Amino acid sequence: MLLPVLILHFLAVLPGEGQRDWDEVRRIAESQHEIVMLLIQNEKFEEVLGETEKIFSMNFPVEYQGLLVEGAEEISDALIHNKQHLLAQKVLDQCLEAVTDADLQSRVCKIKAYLFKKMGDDEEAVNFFRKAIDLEKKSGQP
Amino acid sequence: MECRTCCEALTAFLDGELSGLERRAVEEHLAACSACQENCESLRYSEHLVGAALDEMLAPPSWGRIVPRLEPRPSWLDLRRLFGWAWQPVFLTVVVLAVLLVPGFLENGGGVEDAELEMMLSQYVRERDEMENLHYGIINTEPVGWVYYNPYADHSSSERRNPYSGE
Amino acid sequence: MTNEDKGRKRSSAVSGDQLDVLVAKAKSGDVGAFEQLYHLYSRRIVNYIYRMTGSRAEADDLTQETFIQAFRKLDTLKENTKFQSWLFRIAQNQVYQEYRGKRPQIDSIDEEDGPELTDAQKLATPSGTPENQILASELRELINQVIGELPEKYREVFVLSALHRFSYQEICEIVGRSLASVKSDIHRARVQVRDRIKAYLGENYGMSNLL
Repeated sequence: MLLPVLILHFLAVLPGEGQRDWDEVRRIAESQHEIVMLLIQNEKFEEVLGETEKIFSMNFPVEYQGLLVEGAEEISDALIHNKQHLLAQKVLDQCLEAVTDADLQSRVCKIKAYLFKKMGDDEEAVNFFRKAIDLEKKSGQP
Repeated sequence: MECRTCCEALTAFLDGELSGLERRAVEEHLAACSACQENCESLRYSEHLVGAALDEMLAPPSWGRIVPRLEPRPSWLDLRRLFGWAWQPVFLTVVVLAVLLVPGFLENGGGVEDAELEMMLSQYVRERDEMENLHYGIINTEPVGWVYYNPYADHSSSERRNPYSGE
Repeated sequence: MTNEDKGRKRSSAVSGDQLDVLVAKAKSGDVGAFEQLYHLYSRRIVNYIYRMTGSRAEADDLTQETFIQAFRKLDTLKENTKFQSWLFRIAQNQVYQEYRGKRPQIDSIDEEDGPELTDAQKLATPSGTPENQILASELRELINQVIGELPEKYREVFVLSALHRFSYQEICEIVGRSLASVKSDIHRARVQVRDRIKAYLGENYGMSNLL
C-alpha cells in the first residue's frame, strides 16, 4: 500500500517560482489530495500536515478557492472518522490561511465550530460559529 | 474498474451524467459483477418509486397576487425626480445618520442573539453528524470501503479518464 | 448516452431562443413577458420550496418573494437562457434566509390540490388490492419523510435532481458547488433514500428483496 504513496510523492512537483497555469496547479492539487487520503487510509497521520501544506500554499485563484474548502472538508471528515480531531483543526487552519473570500472562510469556521463541539470545547465552538455568521453577513450571503 | 469505483458512479450512470468512456467502463463492469448489478437495479427501482411519489403537486400562487408587488426599485434618476433639487441634502443626511448610528447599533449586539446562535450551531452539528454517518455508512455497506472524491479532478472534458478507475 | 437519450431530462416548456426573447422583453419592463415567465416556472419553484421547507404556506409566500426579487434584479442576469437556474438560486436564497438551521416539518398535500395523477403515479399506485393502495400511500409518505430528514446539503441537490430533473451542471450553477461535490452528494442522498425504503419494506412487508 505504501508503494503508490511513494510513487505519487516522487512524481508530485513541488510549488516553485514563477507563474503556473491553472491546469498545472489543479493537477498538482489532485495528486496531493490523493496522497493525503492515502496517508490517512494507512494511518500515517504524522505526514498529513506536511502534504496538505503543499496544497494550501499554492495560491489558488479566488474563483477556484472553493475547491480548497471542499478538499479541506473531505480531509477533515476523514480525520474525524479516524478520531484525529486536533489534526483536522490544523488542516482547517491551513485552509483558512489560503482562502480570501469571506463566504469560504465562513464555511471553514463552521467546520471548525463543529470540530470544537466534538472535542467538548463548547466555548470555542460558539466563538467560531459566531465568526462564521459574521463572515456570512460580511459576504452578503444568506 | 473496481467495485468501489463502479458503486460511486452508479447514480451518475443512471442519470446519464457519465462521459462515453466512463459509461462503457461501468457497463462492462456491471455485465461481469452480479453484486454491482443488483446494487444498480435497486437504485434504479428506488428512483422509480421516488419519481412516482414526488410530483409537482402544489399549485403556485396566482399571478394576480404578484402583480401589485412588482415595483422596481427607484433608479437614481427617479430619486432626483421624486425629491427634485432636495435629493442631495436628503441623501447626505441619510448617509451621515447611518455613519453615526450603525456602529452604536452593532456594539449593542445588532448580530445574532446567543440563544439563536446556540440553536443554529446545534442544528449544524446534527446535520454534520448525519452526513458523517451517511458517508461512512455507505463505506460500510457497499462492496469495498474507502470511498471519497477528489475536488481537484478535472470534470470538464467529456471523454476524460475516470479518476477512480485505476486505468 | 445523454440525459435526453435516457429519457430522463425534463421536457422544456420553451426553447432557448424563445426564453432569450421573453427574458429580454421582461428586462425592458414588459410585465406581460414576465407574466409568461411566471406561468412557465412558478409551479416548479413552489414545489421546490415546499420540498425544502415542508410548509405550503411558506412555499406560497417565498414563491412570491422569489419572483418579486427576480423582477427587481433581472438586469443582473447576464445570460438570458440561464434564467431558470438563476431563478432557482434566488429561491434557494429565500429558503436559506427564512429557514437557516431549521428542519422542515412536511405538510401533507391533498390530491385535490394538484393535477390528476400521472401515468407513473398510477403505476406506483396500482388499482389492485386495497393492500397495494395502502402500501403505495405509505411509501409516498415515507419518501416525503425521508427527504425531509436528509441534511440540507443533500436535500437540495436530491430534490433538484430527482424531482426537477436538472442536469448536474445546472445543479452546480444553482447551489454554487463543484461538480464533484454535487455528484457525490446526490449519490449519498440516493443511497440513503434507497436504504430507508428497503428497510421499511423489509420491516413492514417482508419485501426487502424488492430493492
